[in-house]
Amino acid sequence: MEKIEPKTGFIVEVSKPWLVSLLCLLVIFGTVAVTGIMDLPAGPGGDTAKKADQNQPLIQPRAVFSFSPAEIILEKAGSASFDLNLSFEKEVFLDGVDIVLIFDSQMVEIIEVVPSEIFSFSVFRKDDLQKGRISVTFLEERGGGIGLSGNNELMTVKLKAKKAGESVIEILEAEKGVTTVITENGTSRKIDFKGESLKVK
Amino acid sequence: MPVRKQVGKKAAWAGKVGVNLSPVALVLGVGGEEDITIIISNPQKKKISFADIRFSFDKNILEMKSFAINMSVFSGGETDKLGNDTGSGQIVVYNTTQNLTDSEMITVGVLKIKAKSAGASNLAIIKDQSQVVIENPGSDDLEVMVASSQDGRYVVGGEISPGKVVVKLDPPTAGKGVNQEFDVELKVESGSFKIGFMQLVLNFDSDKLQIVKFIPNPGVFSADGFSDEDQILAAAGGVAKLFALNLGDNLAAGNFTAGKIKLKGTAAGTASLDIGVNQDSYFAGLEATEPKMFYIEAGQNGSYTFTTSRTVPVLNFKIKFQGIDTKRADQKVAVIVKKAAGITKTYTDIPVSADSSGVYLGSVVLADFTAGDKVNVFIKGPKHLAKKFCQNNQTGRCGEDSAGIALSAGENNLDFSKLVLEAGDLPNPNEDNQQDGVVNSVDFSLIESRVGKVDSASLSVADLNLDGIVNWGDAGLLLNTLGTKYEDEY
Repeated sequence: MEKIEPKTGFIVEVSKPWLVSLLCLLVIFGTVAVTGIMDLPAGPGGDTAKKADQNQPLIQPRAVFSFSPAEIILEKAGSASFDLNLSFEKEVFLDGVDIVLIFDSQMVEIIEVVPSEIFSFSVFRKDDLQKGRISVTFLEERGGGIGLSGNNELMTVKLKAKKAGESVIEILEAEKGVTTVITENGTSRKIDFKGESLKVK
Repeated sequence: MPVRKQVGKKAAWAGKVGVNLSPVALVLGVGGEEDITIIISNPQKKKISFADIRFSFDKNILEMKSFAINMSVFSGGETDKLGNDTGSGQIVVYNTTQNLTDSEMITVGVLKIKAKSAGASNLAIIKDQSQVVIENPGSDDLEVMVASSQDGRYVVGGEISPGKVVVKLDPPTAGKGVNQEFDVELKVESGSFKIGFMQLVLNFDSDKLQIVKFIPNPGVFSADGFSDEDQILAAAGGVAKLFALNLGDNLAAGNFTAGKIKLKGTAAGTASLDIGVNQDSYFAGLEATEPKMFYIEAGQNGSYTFTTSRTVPVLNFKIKFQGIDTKRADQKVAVIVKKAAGITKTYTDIPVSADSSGVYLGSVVLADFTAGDKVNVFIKGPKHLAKKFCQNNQTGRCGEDSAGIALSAGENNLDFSKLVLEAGDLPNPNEDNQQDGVVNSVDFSLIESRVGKVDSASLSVADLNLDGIVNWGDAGLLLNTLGTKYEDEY
């Protein structure tokens, strides 16, 4: 994990190296249009960066999905559970969230999925488990959406091992079709997110 | 006033005639003169013996120079009360002979008008003051009510605009069965020009294509008084002339649909339908302050292929959209046809129309398939998930290995309406109005942000039950889909 720390004290966490380069390019671009420039430390590529307009779109994910615990060790015939959390740095108003987790149905069996009651509605599609998918949609009926900030526990999943070995449960991120989506209130736009994965041993 | 016989006022005939002007719109330079033909529409073919036609106009803009009676129909009349001092004129014609005309359209005569000063003037028939008399064999003649009229609008000071109005046919291509009617929309790009009148010439292959009807867009043109026949003049012989007119003040500009042309293939082969770009094709802005004419640039002509239903399978299908149980507006669907271990073809923008119970009917020529092919049919609605159909009168979902429907030569009438197309996959304005093949929180959000809205843009995105308002009923349909099958069946 690399950190870029501008003089403003604004911390950007970047998990993927290519994002660092992209960030630098955007920051350089920002110097053309922005007044009130202040110097920043040189980026990893050696370029001298300038502070970008705060109104420009953020390039780092606005939301992070994480698993708790981050790793599960199952004993033979034993079961365990994990929580899926969604966290935001700032308050965001949402109309809904679609969660699609993919898992190896040869290795683990999902026993129970319990969605939280943060949103007005939630729909868990049990049939998808056969396809190796845990899919849950959360919807908020209030006109202004639901405001979320900090860490939010979205659901608890109980599972057990089918075979000995390692597997991973991951957030599905696809461009189209069935995928994980966070939808902003008002604009109906998808909010960028970063998804971690859960190791199951 | 000379009348052929005593008019029986108390025995007035219950039938109706109309009085129309041709052309209905013109743009003239100051001092310019034009001939306006006055026509009586006589749909019940009564013998006309007398007509007293009253009209009004703006005497500051137009002058009624003269009226020439059609002496082949009438034997005399009065033409000296054209109303240039008051703006209210009168024309009287009569036939005192026994040789009366009974055709459906009777030309009364030609009114010569002259443009006096810049501006726009209507030439309006005053129906309740006008009178037409018909022969009543064995008794006195009868007065007939002038029930309809097509007023004219004439603009003085107009000039040919250097700009052009682009006209496109949509869709520009289609494959259809012979004798199958279909609609082509007339898309107009006028920029900032405000359009009040359209006269559009179409050139077409009359040996393969018939222009059945032109239906002006009522949101753009007020086509009062136009009959279907009026709208398509000389539609035989490969040339048609379409008219549409807006006599109101709310003139369309920018990109709009002028109307739809109903076409029919009359013989196998490919027929062209071209936008005429000659002097007879033009749009006019009928604003008094800025009268102009705009010539037409063909942005997209049409080419339509027709096949005889004897050899090529034609799929006539019935479908039902979730939440619609009554007649609603026409829709367009995509039909995807897959042949087992073979080709897949997608036919887009297939029009479907509802019956009174909300069952939609559509038709598509499967020109890429032959009789005997076994196919599965996938139909995707404009706000719906695609559904797979593998048999006629299907009531349950198809298996992945379904054998499919064996196509016959010619008409294949398949009823898929026992299963609804699940609603919820909305066209997303954030993504070029594309559907993404899944029902999710984005679709819910698109509805939620439009609840209570009735504008056409909102309805086109989120009015799932087509009831003219986006509301929680639409969200309920989406929730229903979310809880069942929520992705396209491909």
